Amino acid sequence: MSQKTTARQLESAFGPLEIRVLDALWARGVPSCVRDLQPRFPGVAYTTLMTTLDRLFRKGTLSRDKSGRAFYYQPRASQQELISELAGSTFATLLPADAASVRPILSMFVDTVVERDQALLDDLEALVKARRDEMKGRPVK
Amino acid sequence: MNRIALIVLVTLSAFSLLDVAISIVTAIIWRTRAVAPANLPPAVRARRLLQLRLVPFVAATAVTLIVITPAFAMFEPPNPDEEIGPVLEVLATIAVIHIGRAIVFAIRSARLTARIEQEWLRSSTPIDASCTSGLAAFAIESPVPMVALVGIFTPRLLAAKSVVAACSRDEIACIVAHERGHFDARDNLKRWIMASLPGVLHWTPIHREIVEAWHHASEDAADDAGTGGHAVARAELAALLLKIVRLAPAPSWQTAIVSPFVEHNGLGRRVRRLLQPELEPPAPLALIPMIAVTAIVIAMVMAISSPATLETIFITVERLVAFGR
Repeated sequence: MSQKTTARQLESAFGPLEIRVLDALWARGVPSCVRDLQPRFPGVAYTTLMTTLDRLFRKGTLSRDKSGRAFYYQPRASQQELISELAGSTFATLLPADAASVRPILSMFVDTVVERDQALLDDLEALVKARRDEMKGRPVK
Repeated sequence: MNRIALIVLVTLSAFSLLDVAISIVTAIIWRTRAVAPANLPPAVRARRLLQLRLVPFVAATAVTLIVITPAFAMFEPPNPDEEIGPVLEVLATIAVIHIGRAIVFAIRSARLTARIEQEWLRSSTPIDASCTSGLAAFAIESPVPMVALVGIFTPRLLAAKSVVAACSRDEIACIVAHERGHFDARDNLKRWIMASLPGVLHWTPIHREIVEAWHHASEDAADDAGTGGHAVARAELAALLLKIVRLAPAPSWQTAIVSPFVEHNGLGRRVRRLLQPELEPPAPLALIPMIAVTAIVIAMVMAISSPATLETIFITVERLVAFGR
């Protein structure tokens, strides 16, 4: 698979800033927080960088650990592993380079890609349980 | 320039100008949040949002083709032999860009949808027809536990094999009932039309905001259609949504590949709504929009039936043709 095709597939899956952030993390080679990356992104707001890292984490592209008050992010795979993963995905080859502007027409039952926040899921399950108990006439805890 | 070419240019330019004017009005109406307040039933909200999004294109096209183009064609001499000004050229070019983008987008997204559907169906197996309510439904290989209605005109229900294996017959019936709601409302066709509409509004954040609000409203409407509004069924659907999200494996590159086109439903918002004891009350009759549409139609009919008005329109258009010459 050519470099051009790989770059095209990378652009299908990630936005331009996401790709830059991934490149920066691969270049650093160690878990990094927003402050570590900021010097490489002059003109990009701290919050924008933070949101981008969080989005990549939610997509499953980065892992993160909390140390003190900051999250430290690192890619789950090397650049080479990403390239071979993309190359092996028949699905990725179907997506056009500008997947953000041209989308397939579908109605998802529920978003299982990004909605992974464990605390949110726990809270919502507690609400469902409380509602079921309420409907059964049990006292709500 | 010959007469036909001039009429085409005037038509395109008039569309461009009207589209901008009506888009501004649409944006102002949208910002007032009066069109689709949250206390309306979601099906009504979705319908009004779709109508609001259609307004600039439909109104600009209707006024252009029913009033302006006939007025110009009626009074323009057979052999005009006149030079056109740069403003008309610019406006016509903008219209061509809008229409071209819309056609290209519509074709590309339809082709992409068909290709992805074919790819998914390649390794699929039909889901037991007794619990699919007449929907064509298939279990597919997917790295994420996705369930989706895929396609524009005759969409199919595609569910990851991991979801089908993990769900009981009642739960699959619950999923199908929700997607049946989307199918009956022709939501995929509406989604495609909204994304493909030509016009200046497409390039503004207003388009994204209206489409996102419509997306949430249509999800809620499908939830209501699937549960029939019954409290127990709503709570079961809320539990099922969480169960399916929990099926997702550890994040991987595959999910990153899928994520760009997943529209985020706002799981928390949706589950909390399903758990509310009461549904939204029925919507009151929307008198103001009905009066506005009636007034516009009457004005158009009066315009095309009055030679004096048509002549005034022609003179105005002639000024536009010559502007900047």
